[in-house]
Amino acid sequence: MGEIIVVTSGKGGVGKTTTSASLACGFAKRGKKTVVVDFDIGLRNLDLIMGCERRVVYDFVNVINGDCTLKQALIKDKRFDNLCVLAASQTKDKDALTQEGVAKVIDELKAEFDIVLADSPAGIERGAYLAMYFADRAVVVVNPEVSSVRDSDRVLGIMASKSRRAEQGQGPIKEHLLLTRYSPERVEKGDMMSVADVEEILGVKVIGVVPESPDVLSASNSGVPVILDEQADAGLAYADAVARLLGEERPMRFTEPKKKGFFQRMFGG
Amino acid sequence: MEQRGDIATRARDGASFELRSGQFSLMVLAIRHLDLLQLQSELSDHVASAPALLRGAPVVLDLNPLSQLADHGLLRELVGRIHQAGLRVIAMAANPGAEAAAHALDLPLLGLDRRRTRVVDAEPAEPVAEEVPAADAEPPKPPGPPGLQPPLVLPGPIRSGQQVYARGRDLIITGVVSAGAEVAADGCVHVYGRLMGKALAGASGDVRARIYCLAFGAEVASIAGNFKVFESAPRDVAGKAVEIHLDEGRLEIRPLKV
Repeated sequence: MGEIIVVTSGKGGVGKTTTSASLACGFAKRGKKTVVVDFDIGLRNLDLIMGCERRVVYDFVNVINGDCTLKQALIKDKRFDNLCVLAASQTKDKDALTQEGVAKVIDELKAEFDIVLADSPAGIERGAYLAMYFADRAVVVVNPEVSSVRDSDRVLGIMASKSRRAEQGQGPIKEHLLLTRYSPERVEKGDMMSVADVEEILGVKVIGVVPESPDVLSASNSGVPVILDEQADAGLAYADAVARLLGEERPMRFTEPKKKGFFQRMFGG
Repeated sequence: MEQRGDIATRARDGASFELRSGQFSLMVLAIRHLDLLQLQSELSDHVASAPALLRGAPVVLDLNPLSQLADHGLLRELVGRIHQAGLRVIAMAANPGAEAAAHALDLPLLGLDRRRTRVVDAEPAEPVAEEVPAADAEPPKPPGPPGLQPPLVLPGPIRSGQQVYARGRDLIITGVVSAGAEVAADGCVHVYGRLMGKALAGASGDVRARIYCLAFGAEVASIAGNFKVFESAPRDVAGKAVEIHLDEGRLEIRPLKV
Protein backbone atom coordinates (compact mmCIF):
# COMPACT_ATOMS: atom_id res chain seq x y z
CA MET A 1 0.00 0.00 0.00
CA GLY A 2 1.31 3.42 -0.90
CA GLU A 3 1.62 6.44 1.27
CA ILE A 4 -0.45 9.58 0.84
CA ILE A 5 1.44 12.83 1.31
CA VAL A 6 -0.44 16.13 1.18
CA VAL A 7 1.33 19.34 0.22
CA THR A 8 -0.59 22.15 1.85
CA SER A 9 -0.18 25.61 3.41
CA GLY A 10 -3.38 27.50 4.03
CA LYS A 11 -2.01 30.64 2.44
CA GLY A 12 -1.84 31.00 -1.32
CA GLY A 13 1.22 31.74 -3.38
CA VAL A 14 3.75 30.16 -1.03
CA GLY A 15 4.85 27.47 -3.47
CA LYS A 16 2.61 24.44 -2.95
CA THR A 17 2.34 23.46 -6.58
CA THR A 18 6.03 24.14 -7.26
CA THR A 19 6.82 21.95 -4.28
CA SER A 20 4.40 19.19 -5.30
CA ALA A 21 5.90 19.04 -8.77
CA SER A 22 9.47 18.95 -7.50
CA LEU A 23 8.79 16.39 -4.79
CA ALA A 24 6.94 14.19 -7.29
CA CYS A 25 9.89 14.25 -9.72
CA GLY A 26 12.28 13.71 -6.82
CA PHE A 27 10.45 10.62 -5.58
CA ALA A 28 10.20 9.24 -9.12
CA LYS A 29 13.91 9.82 -9.66
CA ARG A 30 14.58 7.86 -6.51
CA GLY A 31 12.70 4.92 -8.01
CA LYS A 32 9.36 5.36 -6.23
CA LYS A 33 6.25 4.80 -8.27
CA THR A 34 4.63 8.19 -7.81
CA VAL A 35 1.43 9.99 -8.73
CA VAL A 36 0.74 13.65 -8.10
CA VAL A 37 -2.89 14.78 -7.88
CA ASP A 38 -4.08 18.36 -8.38
CA PHE A 39 -6.86 19.16 -5.89
CA ASP A 40 -7.21 22.76 -7.03
CA ILE A 41 -10.41 22.21 -8.97
CA GLY A 42 -11.19 25.15 -11.24
CA LEU A 43 -7.67 26.59 -11.09
CA ARG A 44 -5.69 23.86 -12.77
CA ASN A 45 -1.96 24.63 -12.49
CA LEU A 46 0.00 21.51 -11.65
CA ASP A 47 -0.10 20.24 -15.26
CA LEU A 48 1.59 23.48 -16.39
CA ILE A 49 4.41 23.17 -13.85
CA MET A 50 4.82 19.51 -14.78
CA GLY A 51 4.84 20.40 -18.48
CA CYS A 52 1.97 18.13 -19.52
CA GLU A 53 -0.80 20.71 -19.98
CA ARG A 54 -1.41 19.83 -23.61
CA ARG A 55 -1.98 16.19 -22.82
CA VAL A 56 -4.83 16.63 -20.32
CA VAL A 57 -7.85 14.83 -21.75
CA TYR A 58 -9.65 13.59 -18.67
CA ASP A 59 -9.28 14.99 -15.18
CA PHE A 60 -9.91 14.21 -11.50
CA VAL A 61 -13.58 15.25 -11.67
CA ASN A 62 -14.17 13.09 -14.76
CA VAL A 63 -12.89 10.10 -12.80
CA ILE A 64 -15.11 10.89 -9.82
CA ASN A 65 -18.14 11.32 -12.07
CA GLY A 66 -17.41 8.04 -13.83
CA ASP A 67 -16.88 9.66 -17.26
CA CYS A 68 -13.66 7.70 -17.65
CA THR A 69 -11.51 5.18 -15.84
CA LEU A 70 -8.69 6.26 -13.57
CA LYS A 71 -6.18 4.76 -16.01
CA GLN A 72 -7.48 6.95 -18.83
CA ALA A 73 -7.09 10.08 -16.74
CA LEU A 74 -3.55 9.43 -15.51
CA ILE A 75 -0.99 11.31 -17.61
CA LYS A 76 2.38 9.62 -17.84
CA ASP A 77 5.35 11.91 -17.37
CA LYS A 78 7.71 12.05 -20.34
CA ARG A 79 10.85 12.12 -18.19
CA PHE A 80 10.05 9.36 -15.69
CA ASP A 81 7.94 6.36 -16.64
CA ASN A 82 7.17 5.70 -12.95
CA LEU A 83 5.54 9.13 -12.56
CA CYS A 84 1.95 10.10 -13.33
CA VAL A 85 -0.12 13.27 -13.04
CA LEU A 86 -3.83 13.46 -12.30
CA ALA A 87 -4.91 16.92 -13.40
CA ALA A 88 -7.63 19.03 -11.83
CA SER A 89 -10.67 20.12 -13.79
CA GLN A 90 -10.50 23.62 -15.18
CA THR A 91 -14.22 23.92 -15.89
CA LYS A 92 -15.82 22.58 -12.73
CA ASP A 93 -15.63 24.09 -9.26
CA LYS A 94 -14.60 22.68 -5.91
CA ASP A 95 -18.08 21.36 -5.15
CA ALA A 96 -17.51 18.70 -7.81
CA LEU A 97 -15.33 16.88 -5.28
CA THR A 98 -17.27 14.56 -2.99
CA GLN A 99 -15.75 12.81 -0.03
CA GLU A 100 -16.83 9.37 -1.26
CA GLY A 101 -15.59 10.08 -4.77
CA VAL A 102 -12.20 11.28 -3.58
CA ALA A 103 -11.91 8.33 -1.16
CA LYS A 104 -12.50 5.89 -4.01
CA VAL A 105 -9.91 7.49 -6.29
CA ILE A 106 -7.34 7.88 -3.50
CA ASP A 107 -7.69 4.27 -2.39
CA GLU A 108 -7.33 3.08 -5.96
CA LEU A 109 -4.18 5.18 -6.39
CA LYS A 110 -2.83 3.98 -3.06
CA ALA A 111 -3.07 0.38 -4.23
CA GLU A 112 -1.22 1.18 -7.44
CA PHE A 113 1.50 3.66 -6.41
CA ASP A 114 4.20 3.89 -3.72
CA ILE A 115 3.57 7.56 -3.16
CA VAL A 116 0.42 9.59 -3.78
CA LEU A 117 1.14 13.33 -3.56
CA ALA A 118 -1.91 15.53 -3.06
CA ASP A 119 -1.37 19.12 -4.19
CA SER A 120 -3.79 21.08 -2.04
CA PRO A 121 -5.42 24.36 -3.08
CA ALA A 122 -4.99 27.40 -0.84
CA GLY A 123 -7.57 28.09 1.83
CA ILE A 124 -9.37 25.71 4.15
CA GLU A 125 -12.41 24.94 2.06
CA ARG A 126 -13.54 21.70 0.56
CA GLY A 127 -10.67 21.09 -1.87
CA ALA A 128 -8.04 21.74 0.79
CA TYR A 129 -9.97 19.77 3.38
CA LEU A 130 -10.33 16.73 1.12
CA ALA A 131 -6.67 16.90 0.07
CA MET A 132 -5.56 16.64 3.71
CA TYR A 133 -8.33 14.37 4.98
CA PHE A 134 -6.86 11.16 3.54
CA ALA A 135 -3.19 11.96 4.13
CA ASP A 136 -0.70 9.85 6.08
CA ARG A 137 1.88 12.60 6.03
CA ALA A 138 1.79 16.32 5.40
CA VAL A 139 4.34 18.69 3.98
CA VAL A 140 3.27 22.16 5.09
CA VAL A 141 4.84 24.77 2.82
CA VAL A 142 5.68 27.95 4.73
CA ASN A 143 7.21 31.26 3.73
CA PRO A 144 9.23 32.86 6.49
CA GLU A 145 6.73 35.63 7.21
CA VAL A 146 4.01 36.06 9.81
CA SER A 147 0.85 35.57 7.77
CA SER A 148 2.09 32.38 6.16
CA VAL A 149 3.14 31.04 9.57
CA ARG A 150 -0.25 31.91 11.08
CA ASP A 151 -2.11 30.17 8.25
CA SER A 152 0.11 27.11 8.55
CA ASP A 153 -0.67 26.95 12.25
CA ARG A 154 -4.37 26.97 11.42
CA VAL A 155 -3.95 24.22 8.83
CA LEU A 156 -1.92 22.08 11.23
CA GLY A 157 -4.71 22.47 13.76
CA ILE A 158 -7.39 21.39 11.30
CA MET A 159 -5.27 18.45 10.23
CA ALA A 160 -4.86 17.29 13.81
CA SER A 161 -8.60 17.12 14.42
CA LYS A 162 -10.10 16.24 11.04
CA SER A 163 -8.39 13.48 9.16
CA ARG A 164 -9.26 9.93 8.22
CA ARG A 165 -6.33 8.71 10.31
CA ALA A 166 -7.63 10.58 13.37
CA GLU A 167 -11.17 9.28 12.83
CA GLN A 168 -10.01 5.68 12.38
CA GLY A 169 -7.70 5.87 15.38
CA GLN A 170 -4.55 5.35 13.34
CA GLY A 171 -2.67 8.15 15.07
CA PRO A 172 -2.10 11.63 13.78
CA ILE A 173 -0.87 12.70 10.35
CA LYS A 174 2.93 13.00 10.43
CA GLU A 175 3.75 16.67 9.93
CA HIS A 176 6.74 18.27 8.21
CA LEU A 177 7.52 21.88 7.41
CA LEU A 178 9.11 22.99 4.17
CA LEU A 179 10.37 26.55 4.14
CA THR A 180 10.36 28.20 0.72
CA ARG A 181 11.47 31.64 -0.49
CA TYR A 182 14.12 31.64 2.23
CA SER A 183 16.71 34.39 2.06
CA PRO A 184 19.56 33.88 4.55
CA GLU A 185 20.83 37.41 3.87
CA ARG A 186 17.51 38.94 4.91
CA VAL A 187 17.30 36.67 7.94
CA GLU A 188 20.74 37.89 9.00
CA LYS A 189 19.60 41.50 8.65
CA GLY A 190 16.63 40.67 10.84
CA ASP A 191 13.87 41.40 8.34
CA MET A 192 12.88 37.78 7.75
CA MET A 193 11.99 35.01 10.18
CA SER A 194 14.66 32.35 10.65
CA VAL A 195 14.26 28.57 10.39
CA ALA A 196 14.47 28.40 14.19
CA ASP A 197 11.77 31.09 14.62
CA VAL A 198 9.34 29.21 12.39
CA GLU A 199 10.11 25.86 14.02
CA GLU A 200 9.57 27.34 17.45
CA ILE A 201 6.24 28.98 16.64
CA LEU A 202 4.80 25.97 14.85
CA GLY A 203 6.43 23.25 16.95
CA VAL A 204 7.11 21.13 13.86
CA LYS A 205 10.49 20.12 12.39
CA VAL A 206 11.64 21.59 9.10
CA ILE A 207 12.26 18.94 6.44
CA GLY A 208 13.78 21.31 3.92
CA VAL A 209 14.71 24.91 3.26
CA VAL A 210 14.40 26.14 -0.32
CA PRO A 211 16.22 29.39 -0.95
CA GLU A 212 14.58 32.28 -2.80
CA SER A 213 15.82 31.95 -6.36
CA PRO A 214 14.96 33.15 -9.87
CA ASP A 215 15.56 29.58 -11.06
CA VAL A 216 12.22 28.56 -9.55
CA LEU A 217 10.19 30.94 -11.71
CA SER A 218 11.99 30.08 -14.93
CA ALA A 219 11.67 26.36 -14.19
CA SER A 220 7.93 26.75 -13.58
CA ASN A 221 7.45 28.73 -16.78
CA SER A 222 9.19 26.10 -18.87
CA GLY A 223 7.30 23.19 -17.31
CA VAL A 224 10.42 21.58 -15.88
CA PRO A 225 10.23 21.25 -12.09
CA VAL A 226 13.19 23.00 -10.50
CA ILE A 227 14.42 19.81 -8.82
CA LEU A 228 15.55 18.65 -12.29
CA ASP A 229 17.94 21.61 -12.52
CA GLU A 230 21.04 20.27 -10.83
CA GLN A 231 22.79 23.63 -11.09
CA ALA A 232 20.14 25.41 -9.04
CA ASP A 233 20.35 25.74 -5.26
CA ALA A 234 16.56 25.45 -5.06
CA GLY A 235 16.70 22.18 -7.02
CA LEU A 236 19.34 20.75 -4.70
CA ALA A 237 17.32 21.86 -1.67
CA TYR A 238 14.28 19.97 -2.98
CA ALA A 239 16.43 16.89 -3.60
CA ASP A 240 17.58 17.09 0.02
CA ALA A 241 13.97 17.35 1.19
CA VAL A 242 13.03 14.25 -0.83
CA ALA A 243 15.92 12.33 0.74
CA ARG A 244 14.83 13.40 4.23
CA LEU A 245 11.22 12.43 3.49
CA LEU A 246 12.59 8.99 2.55
CA GLY A 247 14.25 8.81 5.95
CA GLU A 248 17.81 9.82 5.11
CA GLU A 249 19.89 12.22 7.15
CA ARG A 250 21.12 15.27 5.24
CA PRO A 251 22.72 18.39 6.68
CA MET A 252 20.77 21.60 6.01
CA ARG A 253 22.16 23.68 3.16
CA PHE A 254 21.41 27.19 1.92
CA THR A 255 20.50 28.49 5.36
CA GLU A 256 23.61 30.66 5.78
CA PRO A 257 24.39 33.80 3.77
CA LYS A 258 26.76 33.24 0.87
CA LYS A 259 30.32 34.38 1.52
CA LYS A 260 31.10 37.20 -0.84
CA GLY A 261 34.26 37.07 -2.93
CA PHE A 262 36.93 39.76 -2.89
CA PHE A 263 35.66 41.58 -5.99
CA GLN A 264 32.08 41.47 -4.82
CA ARG A 265 33.11 42.97 -1.52
CA MET A 266 35.04 45.69 -3.32
CA PHE A 267 32.47 46.57 -5.92
CA GLY A 268 29.22 45.34 -4.39
CA GLY A 269 26.80 42.97 -6.05
CA MET B 1 -12.40 19.40 23.04
CA GLU B 2 -15.33 21.38 21.77
CA GLN B 3 -15.02 23.35 18.62
CA ARG B 4 -17.22 26.11 17.48
CA GLY B 5 -19.41 25.62 14.45
CA ASP B 6 -19.29 21.84 14.22
CA ILE B 7 -22.00 20.87 11.85
CA ALA B 8 -24.93 19.19 13.52
CA THR B 9 -27.43 18.94 10.73
CA ARG B 10 -26.66 19.76 7.16
CA ALA B 11 -29.59 20.62 4.95
CA ARG B 12 -29.75 19.09 1.52
CA ASP B 13 -27.17 20.45 -0.96
CA GLY B 14 -28.69 23.44 -2.67
CA ALA B 15 -31.19 24.13 0.11
CA SER B 16 -31.71 27.75 1.04
CA PHE B 17 -30.40 27.29 4.57
CA GLU B 18 -28.08 25.28 6.68
CA LEU B 19 -28.84 24.55 10.31
CA ARG B 20 -25.72 24.22 12.37
CA SER B 21 -24.83 24.09 15.99
CA GLY B 22 -22.54 26.89 17.03
CA GLN B 23 -20.94 27.81 20.28
CA PHE B 24 -20.37 31.42 21.07
CA SER B 25 -18.79 32.87 24.11
CA LEU B 26 -20.95 35.63 25.51
CA MET B 27 -20.39 38.14 28.23
CA VAL B 28 -22.62 37.85 31.25
CA LEU B 29 -23.72 41.08 32.85
CA ALA B 30 -24.33 40.31 36.50
CA ILE B 31 -26.19 43.04 38.33
CA ARG B 32 -25.02 43.54 41.89
CA HIS B 33 -27.01 46.59 42.95
CA LEU B 34 -30.24 47.64 41.40
CA ASP B 35 -29.39 51.34 41.42
CA LEU B 36 -30.30 52.24 37.87
CA LEU B 37 -28.60 55.63 37.68
CA GLN B 38 -25.36 54.39 39.19
CA LEU B 39 -25.47 51.34 36.96
CA GLN B 40 -25.98 53.32 33.79
CA SER B 41 -23.15 55.76 34.50
CA GLU B 42 -20.68 53.07 35.58
CA LEU B 43 -21.59 50.90 32.63
CA SER B 44 -21.25 53.81 30.18
CA ASP B 45 -17.76 54.53 31.55
CA HIS B 46 -16.82 50.88 31.22
CA VAL B 47 -18.03 50.71 27.63
CA ALA B 48 -16.19 53.94 26.82
CA SER B 49 -12.96 52.44 28.17
CA ALA B 50 -12.99 49.67 25.52
CA PRO B 51 -15.46 50.76 22.85
CA ALA B 52 -14.12 48.49 20.11
CA LEU B 53 -14.87 45.44 22.20
CA LEU B 54 -17.90 46.52 24.17
CA ARG B 55 -19.98 48.95 22.13
CA GLY B 56 -23.03 47.09 20.91
CA ALA B 57 -21.76 43.85 22.42
CA PRO B 58 -24.39 41.24 23.19
CA VAL B 59 -24.68 40.31 26.85
CA VAL B 60 -26.63 37.84 28.91
CA LEU B 61 -28.36 39.47 31.83
CA ASP B 62 -27.78 37.70 35.13
CA LEU B 63 -30.19 38.89 37.78
CA ASN B 64 -29.60 36.09 40.19
CA PRO B 65 -29.50 37.83 43.58
CA LEU B 66 -32.15 40.33 42.59
CA SER B 67 -34.58 38.34 40.57
CA GLN B 68 -37.36 38.10 43.07
CA LEU B 69 -37.06 41.72 44.15
CA ALA B 70 -37.60 43.36 40.82
CA ASP B 71 -40.99 44.08 39.32
CA HIS B 72 -41.31 43.90 35.57
CA GLY B 73 -41.53 47.62 35.02
CA LEU B 74 -38.23 48.03 36.81
CA LEU B 75 -36.70 45.24 34.74
CA ARG B 76 -37.75 46.89 31.51
CA GLU B 77 -36.23 50.12 32.72
CA LEU B 78 -33.02 48.24 33.62
CA VAL B 79 -32.73 46.74 30.14
CA GLY B 80 -33.35 50.18 28.64
CA ARG B 81 -30.54 51.67 30.73
CA ILE B 82 -28.16 48.90 29.69
CA HIS B 83 -28.97 49.61 26.05
CA GLN B 84 -28.36 53.30 26.58
CA ALA B 85 -25.00 52.47 28.12
CA GLY B 86 -24.10 50.71 24.87
CA LEU B 87 -24.64 46.99 25.53
CA ARG B 88 -27.40 44.82 24.12
CA VAL B 89 -29.21 42.36 26.30
CA ILE B 90 -29.98 39.34 24.15
CA ALA B 91 -30.97 36.78 26.74
CA MET B 92 -31.34 36.12 30.44
CA ALA B 93 -29.38 33.69 32.52
CA ALA B 94 -31.62 30.82 33.56
CA ASN B 95 -31.53 31.32 37.31
CA PRO B 96 -34.27 29.83 39.44
CA GLY B 97 -37.10 32.30 39.40
CA ALA B 98 -35.96 34.08 36.25
CA GLU B 99 -38.59 32.59 33.96
CA ALA B 100 -41.25 35.16 34.74
CA ALA B 101 -38.85 38.04 34.24
CA ALA B 102 -37.59 36.59 30.96
CA HIS B 103 -41.16 36.13 29.80
CA ALA B 104 -42.04 39.70 30.67
CA LEU B 105 -39.00 41.01 28.81
CA ASP B 106 -39.55 38.62 25.89
CA LEU B 107 -36.00 37.30 26.18
CA PRO B 108 -34.81 33.71 25.82
CA LEU B 109 -33.35 31.97 28.85
CA LEU B 110 -29.81 30.63 28.62
CA GLY B 111 -28.57 28.02 31.07
CA LEU B 112 -25.72 29.06 33.32
CA ASP B 113 -24.52 25.86 34.80
CA ARG B 114 -24.00 26.93 38.39
CA ARG B 115 -24.11 23.52 39.95
CA ARG B 116 -20.56 22.96 38.85
CA THR B 117 -19.08 26.39 39.17
CA ARG B 118 -20.40 27.46 42.57
CA VAL B 119 -21.06 31.08 43.19
CA VAL B 120 -18.13 32.84 44.69
CA ASP B 121 -19.38 36.07 46.11
CA ALA B 122 -20.13 35.13 49.67
CA GLU B 123 -23.73 36.25 49.92
CA PRO B 124 -25.07 33.62 52.24
CA ALA B 125 -28.60 34.99 52.11
CA GLU B 126 -29.07 33.56 48.63
CA PRO B 127 -28.57 29.82 48.57
CA VAL B 128 -30.97 29.71 45.59
CA ALA B 129 -28.22 29.48 43.04
CA GLU B 130 -27.04 26.14 44.36
CA GLU B 131 -30.43 24.53 43.98
CA VAL B 132 -30.65 21.84 41.38
CA PRO B 133 -33.90 21.74 39.44
CA ALA B 134 -35.33 18.26 39.86
CA ALA B 135 -36.01 17.76 36.16
CA ASP B 136 -32.36 18.25 35.33
CA ALA B 137 -30.74 15.78 37.70
CA GLU B 138 -27.07 14.88 37.18
CA PRO B 139 -26.01 11.38 36.21
CA PRO B 140 -24.37 9.45 39.07
CA LYS B 141 -20.81 10.56 39.63
CA PRO B 142 -17.83 8.26 39.86
CA PRO B 143 -16.47 7.82 43.37
CA GLY B 144 -14.18 10.58 44.59
CA PRO B 145 -14.34 13.67 46.70
CA PRO B 146 -17.80 15.21 46.29
CA GLY B 147 -18.02 18.05 43.79
CA LEU B 148 -14.56 17.48 42.36
CA GLN B 149 -14.50 17.48 38.57
CA PRO B 150 -11.36 16.09 36.98
CA PRO B 151 -9.55 18.68 34.86
CA LEU B 152 -9.62 18.55 31.08
CA VAL B 153 -6.05 17.68 30.09
CA LEU B 154 -5.02 18.23 26.48
CA PRO B 155 -1.64 17.93 24.82
CA GLY B 156 -0.53 21.00 22.92
CA PRO B 157 -0.16 22.62 20.60
CA ILE B 158 -3.56 24.30 20.51
CA ARG B 159 -3.31 25.98 17.14
CA SER B 160 -4.63 29.16 15.59
CA GLY B 161 -8.39 28.93 15.11
CA GLN B 162 -8.90 26.11 17.60
CA GLN B 163 -11.08 26.61 20.62
CA VAL B 164 -11.09 24.58 23.77
CA TYR B 165 -13.58 24.92 26.60
CA ALA B 166 -13.43 22.97 29.83
CA ARG B 167 -16.97 23.14 31.15
CA GLY B 168 -17.24 23.17 34.90
CA ARG B 169 -13.59 22.31 35.50
CA ASP B 170 -9.97 23.27 35.12
CA LEU B 171 -8.15 23.12 31.82
CA ILE B 172 -4.58 21.90 31.56
CA ILE B 173 -2.70 22.25 28.28
CA THR B 174 0.64 20.47 28.13
CA GLY B 175 2.06 22.47 25.27
CA VAL B 176 1.82 25.70 23.36
CA VAL B 177 -1.29 27.81 22.79
CA SER B 178 -0.69 29.54 19.46
CA ALA B 179 -1.68 33.06 18.51
CA GLY B 180 -5.29 33.03 17.37
CA ALA B 181 -6.25 30.03 19.52
CA GLU B 182 -8.70 30.29 22.43
CA VAL B 183 -8.56 28.28 25.64
CA ALA B 184 -11.33 28.69 28.17
CA ALA B 185 -12.42 27.01 31.37
CA ASP B 186 -14.99 27.55 34.07
CA GLY B 187 -12.12 26.85 36.46
CA CYS B 188 -8.43 27.68 36.13
CA VAL B 189 -6.41 27.57 32.91
CA HIS B 190 -2.91 26.08 33.07
CA VAL B 191 -0.63 26.23 30.06
CA TYR B 192 2.64 24.31 30.27
CA GLY B 193 4.13 26.11 27.31
CA ARG B 194 3.93 29.48 25.62
CA LEU B 195 0.56 31.19 25.83
CA MET B 196 0.18 33.34 22.71
CA GLY B 197 -3.59 33.15 22.13
CA LYS B 198 -6.58 34.04 24.27
CA ALA B 199 -7.07 32.55 27.71
CA LEU B 200 -10.34 32.78 29.66
CA ALA B 201 -10.61 31.43 33.17
CA GLY B 202 -13.75 31.51 35.28
CA ALA B 203 -15.79 31.57 32.10
CA SER B 204 -19.05 31.22 34.04
CA GLY B 205 -18.19 33.92 36.48
CA ASP B 206 -15.89 32.37 39.08
CA VAL B 207 -13.71 35.29 40.13
CA ARG B 208 -11.33 32.98 42.02
CA ALA B 209 -10.22 31.27 38.82
CA ARG B 210 -6.65 31.92 37.71
CA ILE B 211 -4.51 31.58 34.62
CA TYR B 212 -1.01 30.12 34.68
CA CYS B 213 1.47 29.79 31.85
CA LEU B 214 5.16 29.07 31.40
CA ALA B 215 5.79 31.89 28.94
CA PHE B 216 3.39 34.80 28.73
CA GLY B 217 2.50 36.39 25.41
CA ALA B 218 -1.31 36.24 25.44
CA GLU B 219 -3.44 38.38 23.14
CA VAL B 220 -6.27 38.48 25.65
CA ALA B 221 -6.56 37.26 29.22
CA SER B 222 -9.89 37.15 31.01
CA ILE B 223 -11.07 36.04 34.40
CA ALA B 224 -14.80 35.95 35.09
CA GLY B 225 -15.35 38.38 32.23
CA ASN B 226 -12.74 40.89 33.43
CA PHE B 227 -10.43 40.98 30.50
CA LYS B 228 -7.36 42.74 29.27
CA VAL B 229 -6.20 43.04 25.69
CA PHE B 230 -2.45 43.00 25.17
CA GLU B 231 -1.23 44.64 21.99
CA SER B 232 2.17 43.58 23.20
CA ALA B 233 3.00 41.77 26.40
CA PRO B 234 4.12 44.10 29.24
CA ARG B 235 7.89 44.06 29.34
CA ASP B 236 8.21 42.84 32.91
CA VAL B 237 6.21 39.67 32.22
CA ALA B 238 6.75 39.03 28.50
CA GLY B 239 7.96 35.50 27.92
CA LYS B 240 7.95 34.75 31.65
CA ALA B 241 6.08 32.22 33.70
CA VAL B 242 3.16 34.13 35.19
CA GLU B 243 0.07 33.83 37.29
CA ILE B 244 -2.96 35.96 36.42
CA HIS B 245 -5.64 36.56 39.01
CA LEU B 246 -8.36 39.03 39.86
CA ASP B 247 -7.66 41.59 42.54
CA GLU B 248 -10.85 43.50 43.32
CA GLY B 249 -12.03 43.27 39.75
CA ARG B 250 -8.64 44.17 38.29
CA LEU B 251 -6.61 41.69 36.34
CA GLU B 252 -3.19 41.29 37.95
CA ILE B 253 -0.29 39.57 36.22
CA ARG B 254 2.70 38.63 38.26
CA PRO B 255 5.79 36.62 37.39
CA LEU B 256 5.98 33.26 39.11
CA LYS B 257 9.14 32.90 41.12
CA VAL B 258 10.07 29.28 40.69
